Amino acid sequence: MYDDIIFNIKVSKYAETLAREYGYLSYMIQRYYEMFGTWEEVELFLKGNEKPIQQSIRCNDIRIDCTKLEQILRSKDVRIEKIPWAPHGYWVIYSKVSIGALDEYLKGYYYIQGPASMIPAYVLSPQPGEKVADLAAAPGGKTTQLAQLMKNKGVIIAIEKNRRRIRPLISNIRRLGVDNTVVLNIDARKLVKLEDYFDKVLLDAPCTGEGLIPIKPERKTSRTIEDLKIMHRLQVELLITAIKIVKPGGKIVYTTCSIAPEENEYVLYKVLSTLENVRILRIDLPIGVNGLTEYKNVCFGDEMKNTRRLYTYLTGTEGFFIALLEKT
Amino acid sequence: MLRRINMHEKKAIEQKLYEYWRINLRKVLEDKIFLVITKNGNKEVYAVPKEHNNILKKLKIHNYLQQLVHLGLFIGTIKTRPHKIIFYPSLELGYAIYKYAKRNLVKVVRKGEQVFLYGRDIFASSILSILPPLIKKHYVMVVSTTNEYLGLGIALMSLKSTHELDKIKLENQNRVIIKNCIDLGWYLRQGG
Repeated sequence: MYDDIIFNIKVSKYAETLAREYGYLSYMIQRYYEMFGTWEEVELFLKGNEKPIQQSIRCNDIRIDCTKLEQILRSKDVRIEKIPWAPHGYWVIYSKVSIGALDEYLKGYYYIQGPASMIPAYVLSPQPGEKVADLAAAPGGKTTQLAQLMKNKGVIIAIEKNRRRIRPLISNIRRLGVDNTVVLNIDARKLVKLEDYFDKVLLDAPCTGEGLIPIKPERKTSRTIEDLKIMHRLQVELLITAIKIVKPGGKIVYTTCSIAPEENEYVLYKVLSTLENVRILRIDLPIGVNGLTEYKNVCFGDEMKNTRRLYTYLTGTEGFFIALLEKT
Repeated sequence: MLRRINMHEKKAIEQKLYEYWRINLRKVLEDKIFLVITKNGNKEVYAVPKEHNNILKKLKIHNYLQQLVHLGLFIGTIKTRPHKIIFYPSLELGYAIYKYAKRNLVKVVRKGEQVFLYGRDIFASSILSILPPLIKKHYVMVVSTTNEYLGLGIALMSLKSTHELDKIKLENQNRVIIKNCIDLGWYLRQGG
């Protein structure tokens, strides 16, 4: 479609300078300029990525009442604060010991989860009794959150292609007391036989993780433009599958922990250009900014304003992209 | 391979739960169906809500069940020997049913809780009280002072009352009473 334009990056001298200064591959910096439009904004973004992200947990009310969890953690000198836009989320302000080493973690009272990664499940808003598919489920943060929102009723088909990631997925499902889930070790693209079956589908697509740079700085140099192309193709195929298997009137959340337009708006644009039975719904979130309507002079359309982008320098969270779709 | 549990296997599980904890499985998991997955020669038993029946049929029709690795609540593992079915209850089954236990339950002090969660056995000195009787070689529920589930052990001796336990403490407080079978620390040590 517009691959030749989107994936063709000519790096400027200034992008190379910034890339050296902040330790990135230069093609990434040039893309940030295309995204933000000014070098000042690019520098704000890059500086934001240098700051650590506050740790956060999600209370698992399948196992415990959240008010009780607050009391228990406070009695153990763990200082937490509610995240205003995540009903079960808490910032961990201070903990003497690692938050993953507390007994309460083992008891399944909470899941250590990035604040932005809590949002997609809330946006999908699955209800008790519904049939939901999670197409890239490991390690289970969002799967278990979906189960929590469904009050452990209904059914979640959790799909994970990578065999090595099945073990932590199952371990988390069991630890958190989730029992409405069926786990399949399969490539989600093979699910097409379940056409028009699910009420809701979550696609937290495999991605380059470009939004996780504040947590994993190695991502500044570990992904090439070729990796972006490969991911983009996979994401398009997965989103087409997601749309196929959801029933008419059903909802799909497409999300990535990447801020790359190639993995987000351009994926949606490509899929929506070929499928007519899907539209983007508006997400009302108190944080983040609207999705990009244009990138490298390729116009994605006004509908992209309905999607949401989270940048570390603006939200203090990991970088994320979230879109809510409806099959018509 | 996924199949329905057979009558003998289900009966064996029901008998063991009644024998260990006087728990009626049909009552506590009444709305579930029991299914067996055979993995590497092991038979894993899962309890699944009845409402999952339709989707499982759909998965079967489209040949997706070969890729099934987990479903519902993992109940435990069964091994079939000549004239005998052995049942090993899972950590998660214990969590789901411990509140219904009428015997073979020990409450441990804070230090005992920490040690148990590291995979260690339980000494006499670590036990605050028991829900009697404690029967030698039976599975035992282990809970904290605030009645939170910690895992499963096996009783190494029989005890009729907490008073009897106190006598043991006086004789040898370091005597191991409960052998650790599986505890919640497993999720950190082995869960991945």
